[in-house]
Amino acid sequence: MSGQSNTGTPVDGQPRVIDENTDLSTLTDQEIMKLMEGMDHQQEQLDKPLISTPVPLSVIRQEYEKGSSTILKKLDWLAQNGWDQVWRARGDGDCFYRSFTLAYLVRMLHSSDSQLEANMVFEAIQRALPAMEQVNFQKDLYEEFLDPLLALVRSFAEGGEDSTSTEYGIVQALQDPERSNCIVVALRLITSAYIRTHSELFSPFLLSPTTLLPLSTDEFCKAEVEPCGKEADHAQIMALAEALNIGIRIAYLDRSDLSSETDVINWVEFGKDTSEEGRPLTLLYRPGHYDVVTKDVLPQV
Amino acid sequence: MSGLAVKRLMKELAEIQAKGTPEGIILLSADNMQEWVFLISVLGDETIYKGETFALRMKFGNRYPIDVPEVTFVANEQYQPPIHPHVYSNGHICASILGTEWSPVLNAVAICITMQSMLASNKKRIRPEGNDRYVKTAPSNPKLTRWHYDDDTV
Repeated sequence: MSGQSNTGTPVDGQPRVIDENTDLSTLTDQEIMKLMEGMDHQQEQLDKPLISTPVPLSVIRQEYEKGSSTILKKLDWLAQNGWDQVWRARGDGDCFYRSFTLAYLVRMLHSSDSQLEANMVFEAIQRALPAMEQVNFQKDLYEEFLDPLLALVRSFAEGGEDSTSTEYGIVQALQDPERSNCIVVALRLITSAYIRTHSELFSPFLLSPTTLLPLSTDEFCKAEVEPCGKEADHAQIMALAEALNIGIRIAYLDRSDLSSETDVINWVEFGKDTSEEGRPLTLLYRPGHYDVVTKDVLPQV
Repeated sequence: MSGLAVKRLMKELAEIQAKGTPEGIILLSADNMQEWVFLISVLGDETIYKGETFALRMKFGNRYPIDVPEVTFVANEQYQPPIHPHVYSNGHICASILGTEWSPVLNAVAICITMQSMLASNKKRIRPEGNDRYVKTAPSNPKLTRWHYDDDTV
């Protein structure tokens, strides 16, 4: 953990720092607008739950009613094909990892044999741990972050009437900031360890999202994977899918052209088994943001 | 503070008490789980900071270790921040691990080691460009400043 670190200066040529010492009469109109925007945006995000109980897809559709017809067509296709529930994650840069967790747990819940499924998930996580040792993550540190996830999985494995064994229970657990953020960190570490131990596979794709310049595996993991609040891109998603041996399908809600009438939406797939039978995790991607999209499943009585 | 933060800080403290800190780093005070102060000096004869000791203050928030602690060099009658191209005279530090590259697997001692090596590799006894302007307008919490990390050569 010894120390090279990038150091530098406050952003120059960028907007100045505005705080309690700034003379308000010197604010330009642009600065005022920027401040207002910033406040709105931050407050709006902080008011949102980390992850929410599902809303109908039609709620998302309403946001696009005046927008792109391509996106509306894609939304309609999703709805017609039964993808009618969206579980929204807060847009805090951790939305992929949080959506992944929710989808992973819900998949377990709706499995025909939840206990067996939970045991397999438990095994999959255990198999990802040697890579963490290999890249010298401190065992007591990553275990601390992993504990809340393992506790949730264990509650499924043990069966019984545990309170988390419902959709509501899962959402509640993931709305608790401490547990939820620990799980995000744990998944980030699993992702990082996988990329670090498969450097030759990933290195051609490791770019800085801001400069688009290539980064070394270590630089990429330190800057783009391990810190909270950093969006996941294809490399991270692929690494997590491989590390936990789970299929992920992401419906891209972008403006790209519809290739054919039958295949309206672009599903980007990661991991080994993304067939319907493999029950992949299904996420909805809108530029810069991930949510979970599922087909409505009748509650198990 | 959250249970996670307290648990983690207790563990770090126990480890420091059991194993000590790396050479040139001393835990000066950890009277509570909100604020710790370390003393840092650079080892060897090669350094421009020979014979100097700096105090590094860390304030741990409720979301530690998910969030980075607020880290500054102490600037008071007893201690002065090191003169370094990335350390402002008010003690604010521009370093990526204290901002966007903080990771929850890092800890207080890791921050000290990074600061020590940042000082050890420096050859220029100068303040950052625009120090006076920054110090005049800076928020008291450096985490509220938007930093631009441009090089790791000094």
